[in-house]
Amino acid sequence: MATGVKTRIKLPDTAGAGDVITIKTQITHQMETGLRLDSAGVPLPRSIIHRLHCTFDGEAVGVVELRPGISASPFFEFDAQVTRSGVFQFAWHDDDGAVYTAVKAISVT
Amino acid sequence: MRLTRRTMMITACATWAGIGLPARAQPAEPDADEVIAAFIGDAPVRSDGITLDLPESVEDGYRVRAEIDAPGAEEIMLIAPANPVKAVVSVQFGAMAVTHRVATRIRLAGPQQVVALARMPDGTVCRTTQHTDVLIGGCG
Repeated sequence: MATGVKTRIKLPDTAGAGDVITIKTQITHQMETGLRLDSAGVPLPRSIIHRLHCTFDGEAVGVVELRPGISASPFFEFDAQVTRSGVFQFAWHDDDGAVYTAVKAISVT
Repeated sequence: MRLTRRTMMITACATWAGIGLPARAQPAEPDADEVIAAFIGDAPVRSDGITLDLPESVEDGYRVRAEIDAPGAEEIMLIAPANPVKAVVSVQFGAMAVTHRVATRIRLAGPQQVVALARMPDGTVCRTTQHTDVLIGGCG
């Protein structure tokens, strides 16, 4: 399992009904591509976050499929239109089977 | 065989050619055209409806900000033809993602024409490209 994994979510605490909000997400992760060689010339095994799943109270906001071409500590910014209060859930799926999650609530008035 | 400098050099070169090249050989990755063709299928392609925002030139290929904006798209994909792995990222938008915009940071192995594709609800695929100069490749 990757060590020192930390997730960050940035989205507004409150919004008006129908507002389009910007969500920023990041997870600290080395995103080992599987293409680098160690000092003995042996390829380092691929170990990346391969999927980011974002839902709002169970409803899909977006699914991101990541490949080795994504930089270390993958960052994603996207928008969502909110009509009611609820909780955004984020899940990052690691090659090693680990799933890192984060949640953030928004209050819509 | 007498061990001269010349035979040493030849042996060294032959050894590198023998073990060095297979060690670098990668499992077959689909090339960029195959990745693009797989996304498009037999859908009609148009060049409007999608914008790809990338810097014209970057020093550091390890972290390049890329923003794709494809209003109405169901799914988008980013392809870097000069990277070892051509497909970089794909995103499927849910109903709440009304702007169909995503920004991220990608690795670029060298100067190249990056391709962005978007699948629209009407069955068409939008395609755009953007050239980026890269001073230090980010896929080593």
